[in-house]
Amino acid sequence: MTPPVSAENVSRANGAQHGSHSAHAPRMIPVAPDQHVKRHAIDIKNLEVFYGKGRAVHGVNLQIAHGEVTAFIGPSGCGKSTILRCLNRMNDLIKHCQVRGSIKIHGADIYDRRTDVMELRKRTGMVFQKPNPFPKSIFDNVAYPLRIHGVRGKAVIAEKVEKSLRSAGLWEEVKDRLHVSALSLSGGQQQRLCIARAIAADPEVLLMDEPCSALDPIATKTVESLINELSKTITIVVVTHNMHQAVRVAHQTAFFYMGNLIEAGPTDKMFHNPEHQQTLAYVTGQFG
Amino acid sequence: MSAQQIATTENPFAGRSPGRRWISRGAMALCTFATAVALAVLFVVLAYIGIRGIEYMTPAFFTNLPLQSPEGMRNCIIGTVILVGLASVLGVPLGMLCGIYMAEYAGRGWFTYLTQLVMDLLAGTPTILLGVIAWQLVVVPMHQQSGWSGALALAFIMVPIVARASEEMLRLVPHPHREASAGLGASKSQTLFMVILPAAKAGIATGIMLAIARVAGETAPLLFTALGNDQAVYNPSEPYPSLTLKIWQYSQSAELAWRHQAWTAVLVLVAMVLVFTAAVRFAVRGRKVHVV
Ligand SMILES: Nc1ncnc2c1ncn2[C@@H]1O[C@H](COP(=O)(O)OP(=O)(O)O)[C@@H](O)[C@H]1O
Ligand SMILES: [Mg+2]
Repeated sequence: MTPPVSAENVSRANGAQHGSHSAHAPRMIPVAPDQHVKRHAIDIKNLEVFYGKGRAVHGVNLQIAHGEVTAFIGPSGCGKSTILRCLNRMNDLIKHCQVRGSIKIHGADIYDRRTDVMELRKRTGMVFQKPNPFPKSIFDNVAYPLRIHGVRGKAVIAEKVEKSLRSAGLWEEVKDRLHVSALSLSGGQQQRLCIARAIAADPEVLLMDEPCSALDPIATKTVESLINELSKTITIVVVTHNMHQAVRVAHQTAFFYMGNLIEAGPTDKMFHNPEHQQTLAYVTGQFG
Repeated sequence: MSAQQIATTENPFAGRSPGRRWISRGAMALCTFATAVALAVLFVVLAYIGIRGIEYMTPAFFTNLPLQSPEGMRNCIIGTVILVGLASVLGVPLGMLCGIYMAEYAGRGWFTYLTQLVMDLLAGTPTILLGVIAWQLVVVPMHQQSGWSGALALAFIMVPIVARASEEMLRLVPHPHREASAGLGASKSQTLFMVILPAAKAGIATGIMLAIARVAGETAPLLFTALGNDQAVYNPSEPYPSLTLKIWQYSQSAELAWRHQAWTAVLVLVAMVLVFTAAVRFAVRGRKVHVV
């Protein structure tokens, strides 16, 4: 259920990242070099987040390895979304939000003054709780991140769009109507479209905030197998309220409670013999 | 009506409905009646303009100038189109930029509030005053009435209408679109130009159309700015011909033939606005702001 991250697994992920980041993009965040020592894709140190005077996150430390799926679990309001949104600096959009501590992605501090936030967000795709396709055609939705990042050439864009839609398991359903409005799709299809859009510019990290909470069980299953598939090449962090989902998709699980990281570890350990009583109580449904 | 009464009736839901049903019917009747009255008045006015206007319409009206024989208003028709066009070139971008600024950059602070207030005030100002301002700004320094001053006065009228319409339409674009775009690494201006403005396009176009239709019929602000011109003069530095000015002038004339021509001019103006409005509506048909 939760395969240990083998050296082979890690290097394969690294290899894919190298392949997809050819010369054109400036490298604000260095791609992890091929090496035998395991380096973390994401390294969170003493993260504190304030909304105005209220502290939403209290000194969180967490490492996430390459090519792993990490689930964030915990009761509502415990800070899962807040932490996730720190990873691509979406919290910058909230005026009264203040972030302290350090977050490194592939060794580079993303809160450093020199970080290009647009480049960071290009390389860390995000999928939101509610599907949010643009009121544009299916094709234009997926092409959007390519266009804003300066990819030119009809053929190149069309090829990338197809590849992303295939990766998101949506190609067969939409290939004959790429130019109809994305809003004509069902909720599950819209969410997969948003995933296709999020991976179109080849991010190394994919952040998903309760991606299935607005979906029916069948659409949820589709998205879960998609997460499994994508994790072969992308590091994924997924916030979920669904314990079963965490068990099904995540290698690592992190349990948060009232802005604190209570415990993080391999998913099966977290669900069967966690270190903390609180974790056990939560995963067995005694509160939350 | 007490609970017991309700309980004793056959249908437990029947209790209070008869009264409500009558209130509902009454309200409905009132609304229908009001709509019918408004439509009837509008129809009578339009029909009267149509009948009187067509009665005196001649081909010469469209081909000749006011002092030729037979008389026409070719220069006034063209003058109105150019005047409104110039006003749009000035007023639409300015109004849209104001709207974009208020909705996208200024947030909800006191400055936005103040700007909104000024815009609403400007929209409510008697248009003749805006004509006075344009006169002071352009006519006085240039020592001459001109098309430029007229266009400026009309632009003053357009700005608040376009600005408030743009602002409201931009605010209607759902926040998740902005988040999605930012999350993909778009800059603020990319989000604005590639996501937000296209989504608000139809609404903004409607606002612009209303502003244009509105100024096409304005007379007062042109009285001492554009002034009017009986020659085929289209240089905006000179006094400028306009349909509304001609209507105003001829409608007060003792000359019956001129009063008749004024009716035709009114019909032509209404028809121009109607065709323009229909064309814009057709161009942006079915593309409303998507509120998801
Ligand atoms: N934009 C915001 N402004 C103020 N407080 C916020 C904002 N977003 C979240 N919070 C607060 O931060 C805490 C954590 O919220 P969040 O990260 O959304 O929790 P979760 O995703 O785990 O449900 C909550 O107490 C919430 O009220
Ligand atoms: Mg949340």
